[in-house]
Amino acid sequence: MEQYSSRSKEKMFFAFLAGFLYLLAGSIQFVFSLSTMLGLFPVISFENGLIGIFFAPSDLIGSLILVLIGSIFIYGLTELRTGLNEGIAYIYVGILISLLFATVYVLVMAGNWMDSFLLNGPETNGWDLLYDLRPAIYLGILPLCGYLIWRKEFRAMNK
Amino acid sequence: MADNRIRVALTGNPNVGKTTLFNVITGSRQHVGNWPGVTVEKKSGLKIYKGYEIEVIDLPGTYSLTAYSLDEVVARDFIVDEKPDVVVQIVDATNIERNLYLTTQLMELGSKMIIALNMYDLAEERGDKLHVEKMEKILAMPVVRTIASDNVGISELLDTVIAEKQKENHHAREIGYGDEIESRIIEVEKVLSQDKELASRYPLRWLAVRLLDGDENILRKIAGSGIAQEIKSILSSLDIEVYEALMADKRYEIISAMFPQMCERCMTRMTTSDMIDRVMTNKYLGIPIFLALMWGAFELTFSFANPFMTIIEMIFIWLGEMAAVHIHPDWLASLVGEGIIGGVGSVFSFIPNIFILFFLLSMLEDSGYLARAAFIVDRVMYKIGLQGKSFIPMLLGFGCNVPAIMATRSIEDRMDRMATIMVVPFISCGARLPIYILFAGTFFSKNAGTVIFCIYLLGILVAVASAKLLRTTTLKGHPAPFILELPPYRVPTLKNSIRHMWDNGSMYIRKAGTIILGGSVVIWLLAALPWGVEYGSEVSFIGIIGHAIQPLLGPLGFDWKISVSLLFGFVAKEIVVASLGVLYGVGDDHFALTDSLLADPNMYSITALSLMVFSLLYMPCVAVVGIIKKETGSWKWTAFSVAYGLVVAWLLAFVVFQGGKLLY
Repeated sequence: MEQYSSRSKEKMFFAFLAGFLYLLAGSIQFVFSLSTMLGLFPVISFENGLIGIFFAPSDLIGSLILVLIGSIFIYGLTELRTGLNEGIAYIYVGILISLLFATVYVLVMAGNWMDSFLLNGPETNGWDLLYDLRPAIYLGILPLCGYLIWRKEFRAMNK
Repeated sequence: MADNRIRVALTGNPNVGKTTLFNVITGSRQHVGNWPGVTVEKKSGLKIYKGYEIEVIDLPGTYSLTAYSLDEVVARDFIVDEKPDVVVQIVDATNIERNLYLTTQLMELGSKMIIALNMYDLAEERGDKLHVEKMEKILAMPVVRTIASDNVGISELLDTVIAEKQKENHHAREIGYGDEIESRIIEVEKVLSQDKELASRYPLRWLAVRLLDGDENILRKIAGSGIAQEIKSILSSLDIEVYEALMADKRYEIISAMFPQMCERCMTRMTTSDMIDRVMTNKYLGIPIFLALMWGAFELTFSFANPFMTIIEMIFIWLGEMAAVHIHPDWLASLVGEGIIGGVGSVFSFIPNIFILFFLLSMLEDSGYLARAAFIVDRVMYKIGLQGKSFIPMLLGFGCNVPAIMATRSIEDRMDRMATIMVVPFISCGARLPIYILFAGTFFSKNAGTVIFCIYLLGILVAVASAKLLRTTTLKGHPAPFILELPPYRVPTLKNSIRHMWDNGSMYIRKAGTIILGGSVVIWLLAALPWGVEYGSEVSFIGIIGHAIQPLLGPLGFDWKISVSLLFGFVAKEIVVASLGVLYGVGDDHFALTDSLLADPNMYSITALSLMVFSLLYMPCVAVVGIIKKETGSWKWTAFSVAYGLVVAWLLAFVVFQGGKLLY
C-alpha cells in the first residue's frame, strides 16, 4: 500500500467500508426477501425480530439496489488499487447514487406518513416507522459523510 | 420585405442550446431537452426589438449540411431555399472544434452569418481561454458570447443581427480544397451556370461542392434541369466516395489549423462529465444503474404522490355528495355526480402522479442522463437489429407517443425508422399511468411502485422484441451505425424541470376539461339510456355494448364494465379510468373508485395485472393512429400497427391471467 497517497488511502478505505456495508445489507435483505416471497421461513420472525427491524420489510428490488451501490464502490476500489486514479469516479458516483436512493426512501416514507395522516388523523394508524425505515436510509449516512468531507474535491474536478 | 423586418435562422449542432435561445428571444416555450434531436421541425417566433420585427426560425440540429436525415434536410433546405437575412449558428463553447465543421459548410452557402458562442461560462469555468476577436477575424463573421439559459448576451446578439442585416456588402468565404478538387468544382460550376434559374436560386460553387460531395438530395434538386445529364456524366467519371473523404479531410485540416488560435487550453481533458460517464456507461453497471434510476422514479411517482391523490379524491367525493344533495331533478344530479364528477374526478386524482413522474423524467433529461441511457441501450439494440437512436423516440414516448413518433424523423435509415414507428406505441405514455396507479395501488398496495415499474419495463421489452421481429421479417436490413453526442452533465435547475413538468402534465388537465369531460358525459348517457333502465345496468346501452364485446375479452378476466371501458380508451387512454369512475358510480356512492373495485367480486389482483398488461399494449389512441398514418404515409402500416398491438396485448394478457389462475 506504500505507493498510494494518504488521500487515496482514505478513499480506498471509504470505498471498502461503504461497498462492504451495502453489499452485506443488500445480500441479507435479498435472501430474506426471497425467502419471504417463496414462503421458505415464517414471515413473522423476520418482520418482528431484530434482523427484521434492520432489514424490514422484505424489498427485493431495494435489496438489489443496495447490491448495485455496493458494487459501484467495490469497482472503484479495485480500479484505485490497480493504480487507476479514474477509479475515484466510482466513489463519486457511488456517493451520489446512494444519497439519491436515501432521498427516494425518505420521500416514500414521508408520502406514506402523510397519506396515513390524511386517512386516519394524527394517530396515523397503519403507518409504521420501522416498516419504512429502509437500509438505504441509514446506510446513506456514510456516503453523506464522504460527500461532506470531499465535496470541494469533487467540485474542483471539472476545473 | 420591409426594411424593419428581419428573418433569422437559428442553426447549429444538436444540443447546443438552439431551442433555449429561441425561447429566450421569442418568449416561446418550446420543449428543450438535454439530448440531441429534440427539434425535428422548424419553429418560428417573433420578437419586436428596437423597432425591428425579427422573425426567428429554430431549425433542427445538424452536424453537417450533407442532409442524410430528415431533420438535416429541413435545416438545410430552409437556409438554401428560404434565404433568411441572417443565419445565427449557435456554437457550444465547450466543444468549438466539433461545431466548426458545420461552420465551414455554412460559410460556403454565402449567407450573412453570426456565431453565438453559447455556454461560454461552462468553457471558462473549466479553464478554457476563448479568443473571440481572433475567432471573428479568422472566420470573418461576428461572434457574440451568450449564455442562453441565463439570458446573457441576447441583446448583443440581436444588435449584431440588426447590424448584419444593414450591411450592404457580403463576401462568401470559400474553403480551398486543393488543385485537383478545385478544378472539378470549376468544371461543375461552369455546367451549372448554364441553367439561369438554378444560378439565380443557389450559390453555384456551393452546389458544385455538394454534388462532388455525393449529395443525392442536391442531385434530385437539379434532376429537372437541362444540365442534369451533363452533370451526371461528370460525376460518374469520378470516384465520389474518394472525393467526399478528401473534401471532409480538407475541412478538418482547416479546422485544426484555425482552432488552436481561437481557444487556448481547449484540448481534451477529463471533466466531471467524463468521470461520471466512466460509471454510468460502464459495460456491466450501466444497465443496472439505468434500471435502478427508473425504478426509483416510479416508486416515488406512486408513493410520494399518494397523499396528494387522497386529497383530490376527498375533494371529488365531497363534490359528489354535494351534487347528490343539492341538485334536482335526480337525473341531473346523476349526470353531475356520477357522470361528470365520477368520470373527470377519477382521472383528475392522478394528476399528482403524472406531474411527479414528468418532474423526475425532466430532471433525468436535463441532467444529461437520458442521452446516456440511449448510449447504454445501443449495445443491446444493435444486437436485436435496431440502432440506439431509436431509443430516444422511445424515451420521448414516456410522455406522449405523438411527439415520439415525430422524433423518428432523426433516424436516417428508413427501415430503422419504420420499425421504430411501429414499436413506439408499446412505450407507456403518461395517459396510461392512471390505469396502472389505480389498479396497482388498489390490488398491490405496498408493491405498487414496483408493479408499475415492471409494466413500463414490459413495454420496453415488447417494443424491443417486436423490433427484432420486424427487422428479421418485413423490414430486413442491417441497422445503421449510431453516433450520438453525449451532452455534458448539468445540474438540473428547478425552474426548467418545473417548466417541463408543466408543459407535459398540463396536457392532462386540458384533456380532463375537454375530451374526458365529453367522454364521461357520453358514457353516462349510454349508462342511463334507454330511459327507465337501472343506471349502468346490463340492459343499458353501455351494458349491451359491453356484453357484445365481453366474449372477446372474457378469457383475459375482464367483465363487461372493463371491456367497455377499454373500448372507449381508444379515444384517449385516460377515458378507461373515467369510464370506470362513471360505471362504478364513484360520484354518487361517496367512496373512491379504489373501494368500488375492491368490493367488486369479479376483480382480483390477477385480473388487475392482466388489465394493466392489456392497457399497456393494446391499440394506440386515435391521435397516435393519426400520426402513424402521417409519418408512414401508409394506411397498410397504420392498420398493421393497430392490429399487431391488439394481438400482442390479447396474447400477453391471456398468458398473465390464465397463467396466474393456474399458479394461484
